[in-house]
Amino acid sequence: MISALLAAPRECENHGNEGVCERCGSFICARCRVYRAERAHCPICIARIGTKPSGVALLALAFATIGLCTLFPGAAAFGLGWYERRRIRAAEVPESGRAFAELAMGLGALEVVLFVVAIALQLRG
Amino acid sequence: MPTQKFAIEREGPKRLEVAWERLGGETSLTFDGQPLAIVSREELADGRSLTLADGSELRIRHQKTGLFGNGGELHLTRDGEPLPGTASDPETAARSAGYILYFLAGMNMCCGVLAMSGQLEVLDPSAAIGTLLMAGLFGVLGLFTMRGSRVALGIAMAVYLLDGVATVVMQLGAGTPPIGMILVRVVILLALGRAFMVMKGKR
Repeated sequence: MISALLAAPRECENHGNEGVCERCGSFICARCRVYRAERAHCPICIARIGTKPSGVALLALAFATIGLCTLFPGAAAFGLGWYERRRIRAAEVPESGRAFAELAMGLGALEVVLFVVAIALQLRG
Repeated sequence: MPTQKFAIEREGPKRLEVAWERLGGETSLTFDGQPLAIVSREELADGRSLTLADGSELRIRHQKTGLFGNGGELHLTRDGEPLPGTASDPETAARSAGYILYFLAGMNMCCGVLAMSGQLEVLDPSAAIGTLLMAGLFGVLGLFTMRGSRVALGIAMAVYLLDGVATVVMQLGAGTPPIGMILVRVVILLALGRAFMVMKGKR
C-alpha cells in the first residue's frame, strides 16, 4: 500500500502540479482541472461523472411534466427530485441537473397539493 | 450596494464579485477578495477589458434592454466566452426561459384543476381539459427548452402568442379589451424572445 502511494505520480501527467482532484486525490493542473459543484476534478473523474444532467434528473422533471395534465406522478417527481439533489450536493452526478431536480420538486409538491384539493372539493361537492 | 458573484469557470467557485450603486453606473470588481478595477459609467457603456492573474481577458459591458432602453444587464465574458450565470450565457438563458414556460404551465394547471372542480367562474368546466392540455404542452416545451432547444422555445412563443391573440379576439367580442393581460403577455414574450436570441449564440 505504502509503496504504491510512493510510486504514484506527484504531479499532473500532462502539465504539472497545481492542486488535487477533490474526488480521487490525483494531482491536476489548471489546464486539466474541471469544476463540478465548485469542487476541482481531474479529467478521469469528469469522464466518470459526466457533464449533462443525469437520467434521474430528467426522469424527475418528465414525471412532473406528465403531472401537469394528470397530477398523478407529482409525488414521484418530488421524491426523485429530492434524491437527485442529494446526489448533486455530494458531487456524485453533474451540477447541470440541479435546475431539473429542483423544478421537479417544486412542481411535484404543487401537483400533490392540487390533487388533495381536487379530491377534497369533489368529496365536499 | 447591490453585489453579484460569478464563477469564471462553469460550476467553479464564485471568485469574481461585481458591485454597483446603480446598474449601468460606476461598478467595482473584486477577484479572489482583491480589488480588480473600478469601471466608470462611460467605460461600462463602451465595454472595458481587464487581464486576470492567469492571463485570461475579462470583459465587462452594460447592455441596455427593454422596450424603451430603460432596463439593463451586465455582460461579462472571459476570453470571449460569457461567464456562467450572466445574462449573455446561453445556458442561463435556456434555464430562465424554461422556468417561465413551467410557470405558465403551472398557472394553466391550477386554472384547469379549479375549473374542473367548478371553483373557477371565469372558466367553463368544459374548457378545463383544454387548459390542462395547454399546461402539458408548455411543460413539454419547457423541458426541451431547458435542455437547450431553440426550436421548442420558438414553438412555445408561437403557441403563447396565438393563444393570446385568440383570447383577445374572444374578449373583444364580449366587450372590454383585456389591457392588463396584453401587457403581461408582451412582457413574457419579450423575456422569452431575449432568451431565444441569447440561445442563438449557443454552440
